[in-house]
Amino acid sequence: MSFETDKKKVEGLGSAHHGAGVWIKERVSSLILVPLTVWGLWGAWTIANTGYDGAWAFVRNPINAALLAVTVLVSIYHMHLGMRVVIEDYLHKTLGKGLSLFLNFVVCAALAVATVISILMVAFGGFGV
Amino acid sequence: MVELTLPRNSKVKKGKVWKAAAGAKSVKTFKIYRYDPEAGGNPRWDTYEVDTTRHGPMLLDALIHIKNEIDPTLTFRRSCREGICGSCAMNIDGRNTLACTKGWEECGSGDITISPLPHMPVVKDLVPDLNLFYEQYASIEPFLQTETPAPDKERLQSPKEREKLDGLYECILCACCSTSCPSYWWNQEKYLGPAALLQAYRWLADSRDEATGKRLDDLEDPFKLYRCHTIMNCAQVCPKGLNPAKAIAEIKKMLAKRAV
Repeated sequence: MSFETDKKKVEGLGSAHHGAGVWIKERVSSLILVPLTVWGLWGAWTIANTGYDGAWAFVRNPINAALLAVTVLVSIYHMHLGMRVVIEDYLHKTLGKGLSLFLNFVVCAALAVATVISILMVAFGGFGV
Repeated sequence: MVELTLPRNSKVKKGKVWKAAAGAKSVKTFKIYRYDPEAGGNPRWDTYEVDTTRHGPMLLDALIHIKNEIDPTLTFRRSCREGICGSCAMNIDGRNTLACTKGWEECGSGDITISPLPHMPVVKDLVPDLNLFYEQYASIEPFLQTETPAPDKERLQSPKEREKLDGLYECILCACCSTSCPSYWWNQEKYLGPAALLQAYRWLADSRDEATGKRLDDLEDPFKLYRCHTIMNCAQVCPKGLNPAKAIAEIKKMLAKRAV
């Protein structure tokens, strides 16, 4: 049972004085993804029906490799920001929320590292047909 | 974690059925949420068969008819009966609106369900507890704040500056918008909600107000403001046709402009 007043609840811990930065990052990352997604669709259309060799050749092109890495990294960053909002919306207990936010960071960071390494391996490595 | 099901003592059960009087000419069925915390027990849906020839065209007319002629224990707020006071805000046919400006004939041919504004503690029947909502409104300091000494006459504003308040000052604080917002449902104590934020922008947009920076400082918070995900339920249900989501977007734009 709590005798906290509504005024006390609304005041809470006061304003965190941040949020605009995250909001700008969400918008900027989504804007960057618009042309990159179009490029990605174009790339997928280009390599369709070209088989493993075609896909290999596509990623070995330095411009394509760079654009692919940027697309994936910005996507993962945008996903991280979005998941953070979902977690904050629905999880209210400190431990569960903290753990979920940490996992969100770890999973997104691991995905980003794994993706970049994979692209570099394909682009510069000796793995081939 | 957000609760996706109602607690056991909040599950709505089937209630009484009040049959239409013999000889009723045009019968419409109203299913109304009933809850009396003092009586104990779960909330229930009471069914009222009403002769529509015996009351006026609005839902509020039907509710007043039910209270006066059928069941005097039915409890609801009402005052101006013309969409100015916001007292009779409730959920009618699944949508928050004012009972006084909603015609019962607009509700389609089936039964009409009426329940209190969603996701608020219920005081009794159709009366929600709006204390937190009003406290949120008070927290945005809804009054003119100036440093400049008061002039001899009124503080001047050009017609163009005054125009910026159109679509904002008309809010009647009925709470239809805030209680239709899922973000407000999940984080009611931390998110200010569309109504308070629309009012916050009303003062941010006022050319005479000199506390813009302080107001923005207070609003810049991941929960107070940024829980708005542009779901737009607020704009859909506002009985005055206002757009709180746009007002919130304007606040976000002001904060972005300040940061960049």
